[in-house]
Amino acid sequence: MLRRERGLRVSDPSDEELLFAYRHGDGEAFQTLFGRYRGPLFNFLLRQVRDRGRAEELYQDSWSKVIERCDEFRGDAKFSTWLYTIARNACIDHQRKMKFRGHASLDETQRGASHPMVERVANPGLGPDELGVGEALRERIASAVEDLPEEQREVFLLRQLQGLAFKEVAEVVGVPVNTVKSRMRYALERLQLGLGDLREQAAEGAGEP
Amino acid sequence: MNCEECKERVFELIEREAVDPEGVRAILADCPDCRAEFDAMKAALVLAEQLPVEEPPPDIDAAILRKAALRTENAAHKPATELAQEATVVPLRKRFLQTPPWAMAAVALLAVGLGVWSIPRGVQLESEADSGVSEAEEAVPFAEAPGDDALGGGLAPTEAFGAAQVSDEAKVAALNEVRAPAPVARGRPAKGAARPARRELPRAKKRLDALAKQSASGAVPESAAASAPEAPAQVQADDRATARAAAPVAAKGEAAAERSVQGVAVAADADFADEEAEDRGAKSAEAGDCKAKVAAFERRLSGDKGYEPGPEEELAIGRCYQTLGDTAKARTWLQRAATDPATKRRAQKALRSLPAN
Repeated sequence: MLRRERGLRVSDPSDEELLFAYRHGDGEAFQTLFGRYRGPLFNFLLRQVRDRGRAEELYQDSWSKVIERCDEFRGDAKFSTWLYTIARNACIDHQRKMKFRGHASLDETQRGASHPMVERVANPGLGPDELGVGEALRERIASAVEDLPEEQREVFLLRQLQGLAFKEVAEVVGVPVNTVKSRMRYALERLQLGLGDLREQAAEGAGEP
Repeated sequence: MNCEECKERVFELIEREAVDPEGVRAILADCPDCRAEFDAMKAALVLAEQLPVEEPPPDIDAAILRKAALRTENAAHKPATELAQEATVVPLRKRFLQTPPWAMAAVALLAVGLGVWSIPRGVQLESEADSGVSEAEEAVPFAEAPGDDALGGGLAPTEAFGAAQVSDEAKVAALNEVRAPAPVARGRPAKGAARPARRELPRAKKRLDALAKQSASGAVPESAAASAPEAPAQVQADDRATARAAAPVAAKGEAAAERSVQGVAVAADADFADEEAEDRGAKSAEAGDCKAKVAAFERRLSGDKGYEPGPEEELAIGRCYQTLGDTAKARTWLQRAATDPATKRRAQKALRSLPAN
């Protein structure tokens, strides 16, 4: 679990301090910073673009931009906000390119089809019978998250994966805080509706060691 | 807290429950709807906690860390100022392209305006210089003109003006002295020249200094110095523009310049009166000079049947006839000189100054 479990102590340097140290030639500072964000960032991108190859590409691009533009970071915003703004912009650019190239969106319902493509594409992972109960549950949850509308999904992921405060999420997404809270509520309601039958299982799964 | 507020603050209540469960329970106890909303959100968050987490590929992580280390190494090898410059310097072509169009248009307009302004001005300056030369040349006896050697020994007296062989620039400067009737420039003032402006005095001195230096450094040919003693009237040369004379004369002019600069500006008027008197003397001397030249020229013309005077000679002799008052002959020779492009303008000018028939 990534949410709010980065295990930071009060004495640990802040993200911004680490970035400034890296700017002044401290390579280890970058490694520390990278360690804090690599997992959450990759999962955010993976759930956003729903394609591992693309997610890897965007993940590398986002960190490259952080390295190249770290001199531009003025410190008037949090590093996490800056990093996720870069990643989100990379996702938007990617989606624009896909549209330009005529790629069909996974969210779109094709002509003559009753369900969006994301529900019809073959699942490359293992089937429920082959997975353990906990694993099957996670896969369903992941699928439910990916089914969320884009606006709700990004808010949910930023809040849930990285544990950003609603104010920070609002800065990244560029909407008021109340809008972010509403989107989060809608996302959770939708998840709850889709995964209602799993609530008991989830409760049991959460209780597993 | 009403239901609406409860909905808005549901996430806050979920977080608060961890530290103040009793307080949250008390808030939610009065409203079953709020309690249901709270429970639903909490349950969904518990579900969301089960979202699978995937690891990024190690090779990509390694590539990112390599890139980060590379930047650190580069930064270590460069001073901070250089890095700052690198961050800010924009390529020249890009900078040019970034220049706003209005600024480029303004620069272009300025360039065109300057060009348009400078062309007529250049032409004006050129014509002024031309007229200055021609006017001054008018004041100089014809032997001063190039090709004087062709006139032979008959015209030797005029060779006293050795300065005629100095460079064109010096000549123009000296001739300009004639135009500026400062006491030091004792040549005949140009036609229509205004009374001397007092501010002209230092400028005239500078020019004289330059000419004297040139003469002293040998820029004045030896022939000038050698021929100077042959001049029948050294005094005449002295009386004319001292600036155009050889070194000793120039030195004399320099002394005169010193005097004039040191002197009070009011003395300029008195000097001008002196100058007019000198000018009258110069005219009479010039007339005598012209007589000799005309006599020599006519002798040569009659003696040598194949002799063809050049355009400069024609102009010079025409002017001499003009000085002597022989308008018909002056017109004849000046008209001949006017047929040659080299002397056309000067000859036409002299023709215009002739009295009408």
